[in-house]
Amino acid sequence: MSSKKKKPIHSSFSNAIWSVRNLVRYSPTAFVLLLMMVPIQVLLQYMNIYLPSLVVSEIITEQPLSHALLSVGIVMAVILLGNLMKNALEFVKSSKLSVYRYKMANLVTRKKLGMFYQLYERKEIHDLGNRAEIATQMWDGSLPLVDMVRNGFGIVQNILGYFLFGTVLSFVSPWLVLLLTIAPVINLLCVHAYNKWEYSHRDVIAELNQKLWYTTTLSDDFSTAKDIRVYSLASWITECYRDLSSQCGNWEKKTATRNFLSRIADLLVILIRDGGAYALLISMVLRNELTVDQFVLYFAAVSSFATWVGGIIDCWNKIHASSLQICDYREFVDYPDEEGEGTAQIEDALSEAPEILFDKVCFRYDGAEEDTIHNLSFTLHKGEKVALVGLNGAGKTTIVKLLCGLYKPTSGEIRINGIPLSQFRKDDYYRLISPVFQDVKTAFFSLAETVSGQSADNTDLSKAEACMRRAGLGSKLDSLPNGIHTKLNKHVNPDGIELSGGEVQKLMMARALYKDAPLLVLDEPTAALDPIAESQIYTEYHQMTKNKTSLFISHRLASTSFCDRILLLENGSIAEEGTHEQLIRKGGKYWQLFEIQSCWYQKDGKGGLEL
Amino acid sequence: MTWKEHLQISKRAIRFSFQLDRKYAICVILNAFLSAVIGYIPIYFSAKVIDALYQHDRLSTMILYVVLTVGLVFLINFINTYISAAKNTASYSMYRNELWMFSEKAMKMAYESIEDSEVTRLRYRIQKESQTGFNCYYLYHTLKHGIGNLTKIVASIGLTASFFGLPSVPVYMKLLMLAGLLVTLVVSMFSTSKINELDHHFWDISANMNVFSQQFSDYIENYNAGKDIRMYGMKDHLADESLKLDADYYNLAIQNSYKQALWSIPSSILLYAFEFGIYAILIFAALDGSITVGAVAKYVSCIMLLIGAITDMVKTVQMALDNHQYLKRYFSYLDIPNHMYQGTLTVEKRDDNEYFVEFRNVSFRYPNTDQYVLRHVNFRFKIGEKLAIVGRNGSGKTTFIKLLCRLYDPTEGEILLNGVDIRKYDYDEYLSIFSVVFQDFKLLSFGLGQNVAAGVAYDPERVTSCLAKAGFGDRLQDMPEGLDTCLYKDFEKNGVEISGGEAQKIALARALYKNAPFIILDEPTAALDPIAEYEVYSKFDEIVGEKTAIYISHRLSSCRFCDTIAVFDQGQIVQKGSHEQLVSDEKGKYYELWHAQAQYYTVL
Repeated sequence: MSSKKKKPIHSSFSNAIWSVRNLVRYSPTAFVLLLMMVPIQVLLQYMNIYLPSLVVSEIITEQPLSHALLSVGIVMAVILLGNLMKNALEFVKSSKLSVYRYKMANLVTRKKLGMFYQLYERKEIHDLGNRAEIATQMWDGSLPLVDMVRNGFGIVQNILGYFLFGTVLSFVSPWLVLLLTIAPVINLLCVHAYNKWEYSHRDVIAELNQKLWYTTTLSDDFSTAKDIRVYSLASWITECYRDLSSQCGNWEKKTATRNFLSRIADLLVILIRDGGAYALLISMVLRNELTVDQFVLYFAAVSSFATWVGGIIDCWNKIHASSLQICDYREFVDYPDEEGEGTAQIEDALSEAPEILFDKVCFRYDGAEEDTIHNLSFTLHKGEKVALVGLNGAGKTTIVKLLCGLYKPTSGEIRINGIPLSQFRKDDYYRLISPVFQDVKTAFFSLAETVSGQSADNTDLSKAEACMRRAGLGSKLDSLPNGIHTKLNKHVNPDGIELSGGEVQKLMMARALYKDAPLLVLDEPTAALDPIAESQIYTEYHQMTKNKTSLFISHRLASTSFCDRILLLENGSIAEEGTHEQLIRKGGKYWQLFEIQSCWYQKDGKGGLEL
Repeated sequence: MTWKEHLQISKRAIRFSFQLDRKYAICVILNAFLSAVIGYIPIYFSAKVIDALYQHDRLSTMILYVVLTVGLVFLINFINTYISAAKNTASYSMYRNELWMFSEKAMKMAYESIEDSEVTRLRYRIQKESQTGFNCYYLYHTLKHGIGNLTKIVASIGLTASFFGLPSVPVYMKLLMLAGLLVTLVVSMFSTSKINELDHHFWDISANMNVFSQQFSDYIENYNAGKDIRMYGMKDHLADESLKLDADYYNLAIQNSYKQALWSIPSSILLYAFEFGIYAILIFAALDGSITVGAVAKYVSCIMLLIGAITDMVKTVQMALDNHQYLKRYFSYLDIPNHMYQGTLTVEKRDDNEYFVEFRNVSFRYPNTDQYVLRHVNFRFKIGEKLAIVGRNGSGKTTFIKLLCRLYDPTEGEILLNGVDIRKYDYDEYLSIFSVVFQDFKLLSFGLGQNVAAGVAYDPERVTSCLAKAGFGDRLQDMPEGLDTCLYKDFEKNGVEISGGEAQKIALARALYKNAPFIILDEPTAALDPIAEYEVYSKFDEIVGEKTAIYISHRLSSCRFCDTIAVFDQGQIVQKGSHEQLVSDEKGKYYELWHAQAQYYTVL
């Protein structure tokens, strides 16, 4: 599991350089401002402890009121100015940083949107992408993308403070400086021990929380609502929740106890530090080695000294923590993508219906022990309509993904007009195909935008409407006051609509029509449609496939009657191939399947076939 | 909002914060109090120490002061650390309780509310707002700041009161100080409220943007969307859109903080001017000998803390009042009524399954729509009958089932069970007579056995036999931990991924396990291949047994083994009869549907 330490792909140093370079390149102002903050912060800290001692000094040396007011006034004016400046810089800096942040975040989004699908579908890459996104998010005042720079300057600032305050205190006693340096280190060791314990139990706790999250958000998915009611699942879910919740509670108690113990060390350190400092400083005053105003200054310096030492260590730790996040970001954004060689031009293939050849194609999912597709060879001739049929799990959907260039064959080759698929640029190749997938997810765009996949401005509206009407959405469009500009998802758009499963499928058909690519691939496009709509799609299919090569995938064998050729897939390879008549005459697997499905439609209505 | 409303909400809010987690609320209060107190110990005692040093007091006095300062700080810190550890633990359980309560509400709400997009939007909005720290979490924020500031105000006034009692300080100086305090406070409060207002305005606008960008990233994250995005070249369009959403959001945010920064300038200058003024008065008094040198720092600190506390208190109250808008929304969600639970009659348990269900002139339109989905439906179920429901998409088939299972109540007309309006029955009792496999059924990512039994405890033999009946028997042999195997990987990482067809079989087994007198199957074979479909068809009688069965399917072949077929068209039952009767009526809807499909299978 994760106890195995994986070495980060970039060193902290490399990440720091990367952070600085990117920040300087994309937001130089923010970089300069971060730098300018350093002296201002140190100065302000010093002024804040200097002011009370100045007041004491003015009083005990019985200066005239005007003198006292002038000197106090000057110091306060400096503090005021410093603060105003700090706030102004802070404001400009954070607005620059937020622009930097979302521009860098957009690179992650772009990568997610365009990355080779087979890679993107891998869970670890998907997770990496999400972690990369987290690196661009502002959380609890920290932004991992710039934290290395910020904390780098933080270290400089704390070292400056350490030396300034240390110099002041070393006038009292060098031993004091040593004591004050060691004390926070002890404290940090305790905190470290606690963190280590927490870290080692992180996986257990994370897993519990993950389970709890699943259980708690079950009802978020409103599609579960019907089952919850009809099967009274509420009490079951509640029981699971209570069990997990009490397990979590036990862990939290353990964690809290340890955390409390580690904090006690901190309290003891403060007790000794303050007690010791008081004793030392008071004794020096009594021996007339210190004046009272110096006492005030030094005591304040003692109290705030710990923050400098702690600050150095804290910044150092944060640099390392954010380094890991920068690694995630860089690893994802720079992840070697399968762009395709780009030696072949897709334009040649776009002009007419292409010929597709699968040559001994094998495909195996990551970590699987067997090929899903094994030694698959077939040809889709120019302008041919081919039906692909097979049982569940035969690998139909995997073939679609291979054909679409979303997956790459583990071995073997797919050729388009004789040119290997790998020679095309990935994004170019996609232009060749209009697919209609089985599983559909729509967003919240308008109907027209969904059909074109572009913004409304870049959509040929009349074409989009025509395509929707051809796909059977005519009466739906007429019933909508905003027509093709109606937005989907009424949960986000108050005037939006929800489409039924069948309507969504038709919309996806319309999208394929709009794209009008020379290769058409339909994966179970009629599963949610009623018989008449199904029949309409079949009829429309003739029109759609004119001058195109097409592949129709279905386990409804009706689809085969209007295709030129049928491929029967079994366990990842082609078991039978031919026209409907040929395969029926052959009396093999296809005949059997057809018999099973059609028997109910025969006059006597008897499913006489025994399996 | 009126003051009365504010009062009501704040009363409920306080009650609510204790209800969610009593221990957490108490810890928050104690923690805030002690954190405020601890700041005053060094202020008070260091003044004493400085004076003692200056006046060359006895060493023992000094030691006493030092011991008191260091000791008290240690003691209070110790207690406070303990409390904050307890608070942290409690905060998790508070957080859990809140999430759970919210989630439980969704499970107990009437189904009608679930599908109501108003409710959905309300829910999204509340969830989004909770992430910003508003809603119920803000209650504790209010509690913390309220108690903390109150403590500071009392302590500061207590420690500075002595100054105003000093006879040696001229009255005009005391008045000057009070006047300055007042002016500073008024200006501070004014700019704080302006800044608040700006924030509010910003949150109001950005709330929608947040919902939008959340949906946007959900879409991008979706694997199915991922295929579309690539194949339909949507990458650049989406990336630009996302950049634009971000840019809009941050432009607003930057403008907002710019305005806020400007508003804060005058008050922060005034604050320093006032501090200087106090120093001047106190230095004067100290040089004069009216107060001690140590007292100068003490008074200044206390007065500055006082100003901070009062300003923050005003802000806290203001924000708490603002939060009432959020809370009102929040409570309105929790208060959504469920009228489904008004019935009280128990459903008679009958071994003979003699349950008569009748639709009497039922019409229905979904809430907030004008269009009737069902119109004047009259229907009687015969006991033990196998009924098929067919019709085009959108003809009202699924709605008919939803009404039958009382997920909705009819808009007009009534549904009767054994002659009594179903609304008069206890809701859970009524639902217990139905087993349904919905088209979009959901299995939970818990154990297989539990899924079939829809509960923690189950009878393994019965589960196994139900699974076998549903055609899952062979697959069960392959499950690594048998009935204990978890489905999917959301819950248990060793869970087993199952295909859509397998899921459908498990859902069917769940329906069988429930053993209710009515069994309803909505497109149960959509995800099955011909052979699996054939198995379900041919074993249909065995699966269903003596129960009353209702079967919805686009595969009209499935109707042939049903006794009666009801044909829906535009919200009405237009035909009813056996397959042979209906198919011979060449003008009927059924004939049209049947032949649309059958033509592809009769070409042999």
